[in-house]
Amino acid sequence: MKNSVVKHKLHPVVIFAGIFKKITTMTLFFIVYLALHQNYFDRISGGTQIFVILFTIVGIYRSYLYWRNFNYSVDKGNITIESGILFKKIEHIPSERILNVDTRTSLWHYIAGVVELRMNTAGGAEDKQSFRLRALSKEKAKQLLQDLGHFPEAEQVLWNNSKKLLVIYSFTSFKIGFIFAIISFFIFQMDMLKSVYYYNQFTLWLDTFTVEKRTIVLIMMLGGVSWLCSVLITAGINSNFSVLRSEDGSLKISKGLLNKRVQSISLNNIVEVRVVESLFCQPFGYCTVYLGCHSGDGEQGMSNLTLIPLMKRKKAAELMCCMLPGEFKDSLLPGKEKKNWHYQAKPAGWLGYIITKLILCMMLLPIIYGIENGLLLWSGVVLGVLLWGYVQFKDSRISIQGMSCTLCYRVFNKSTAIIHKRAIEQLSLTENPVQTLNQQCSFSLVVKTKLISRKIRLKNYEVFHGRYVMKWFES
Amino acid sequence: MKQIGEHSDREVLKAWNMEVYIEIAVSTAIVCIGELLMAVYHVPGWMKIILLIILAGYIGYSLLQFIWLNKIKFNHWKYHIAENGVSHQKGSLFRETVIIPINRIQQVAVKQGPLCRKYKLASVEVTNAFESTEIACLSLKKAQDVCEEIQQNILKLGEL
Repeated sequence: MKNSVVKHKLHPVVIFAGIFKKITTMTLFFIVYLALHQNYFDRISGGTQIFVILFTIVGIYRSYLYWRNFNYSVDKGNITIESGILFKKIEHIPSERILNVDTRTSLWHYIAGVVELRMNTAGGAEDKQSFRLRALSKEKAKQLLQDLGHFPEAEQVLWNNSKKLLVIYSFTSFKIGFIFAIISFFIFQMDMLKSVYYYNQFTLWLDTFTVEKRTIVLIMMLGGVSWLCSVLITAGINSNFSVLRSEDGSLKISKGLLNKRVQSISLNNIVEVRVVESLFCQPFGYCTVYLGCHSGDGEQGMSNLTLIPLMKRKKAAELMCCMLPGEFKDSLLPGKEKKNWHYQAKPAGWLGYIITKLILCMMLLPIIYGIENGLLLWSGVVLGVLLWGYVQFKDSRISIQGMSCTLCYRVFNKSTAIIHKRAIEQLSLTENPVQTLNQQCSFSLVVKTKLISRKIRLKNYEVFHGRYVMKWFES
Repeated sequence: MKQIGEHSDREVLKAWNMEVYIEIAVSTAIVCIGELLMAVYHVPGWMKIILLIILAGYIGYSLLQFIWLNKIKFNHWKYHIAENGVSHQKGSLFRETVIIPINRIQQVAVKQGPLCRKYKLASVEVTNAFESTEIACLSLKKAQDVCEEIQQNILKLGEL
């Protein structure tokens, strides 16, 4: 006898959400188009108007067909999703394969009283790891998660970001590069502003400076505006940030002001924990904690999954002991004491590094800037290199415990990464001639998580340290 | 994983030396063309001297490779295929040891360039999610065996 499985549909609001999104995209496209063509807003032809109307009608019909053909059902804890307008697709996802569940509530979800569910699995190609249910009523979403037997209601609040921390984090995150580029692009394209009084006053004021000063003033002003935007965006994304633990031990990260997002992460999905002390936060003893997972999404355009945006470095080890799986606990943040770390970079190697850089500067600077200026610059560079070399050496350490290793390294920001062996793709040991003479080596570890693959290099360790790490990796 | 053990084929030295000859010939040709162009466009004399110094340095390094470095490279060159991973040791002055666990390998391929074809040599390219590592200059037969062995180990791991 055939089992009768109830097929569910998405909330009908998804039809209008689809077209709303398309119109938003189209509007953005038009803004860019008009900005590039110097504000010919009044010259939109009749043909373009017909195109916009047709685009909207076809969009609504397509969204309707998408909604009509989209069904999901849950049977014995497994979810089946049927979708497709012309080409039908049926996907079966066993519940135990689901490693992350994201619940997102953007502005339109909030207005319609629905949520979006995204489920991530580990296997398959990149585009097959994520399954989306775009609009479900809150009750249906809760029921679905219960039926799947995953991610029960969160019980314990592990972390709540205070307003003070949110303000500090927003002001020190400095994610201005992208915003700076966008604002600059529009500023230099907006000829329509030529008729605006304040714009003219501003350009007249700028003309009072020399070209060099004008450039500096413009860059500073753009930088300032971008920084303010970055502060607002970061504050918006990270407000109401909290980390909760469910009955089954999985973590729930909840955040967002307008676009709310709840990410459920099962503990066996976590393969890396990274504590980053940025240049601006380090003097005040603050750090940011990131997670590396086998599956799941990061923030849009970001390569990290933030576990805690900002916290006191001293409290990090204690807090993460409560949050993370047992296999990480042995190697959790050994602290600053030397005895807690197995290996540390050799001072001789770093002395070599400093001397090489100094010789290079000694040779190059007088050639480029003349002897007098060159020597002045050189003395400044000496101090810089000495400080840089010392900091690089001081913060380079390794500790190995069980299945995970803890690496401490620095480029600009100081990072302490606890990496599970599962996340290490490759280990390389390199020796240059100077290192061969001093029986030293450098490590390169290739770490791969869902969001990013990166190479971590640790220089100037004893050769036997290298052999020990290799043995650990091979075993 | 066991210790690294397997050595390269002796024929490799000949191929590496031939590589050095070709490199010297090509770089000399490039410098000659450069000098010719400089003469045509009346470039200052010191630039010609710098170019000649670079050529002399390169030829000197190539000779060093021919006499000494290739032998060191050969003696240091090792690889080992084990059930749980591939390890490869290479380099003369700048040495490198790479370890790739078998469950991280995405693709294995046998490659042969024109020079390798002449000496009946081949390379095995082991690719993981981040980059490729080449076990270069094996005899063709050995390269095919290595490729097959890695594939077998991957299959064994899959069965487990």
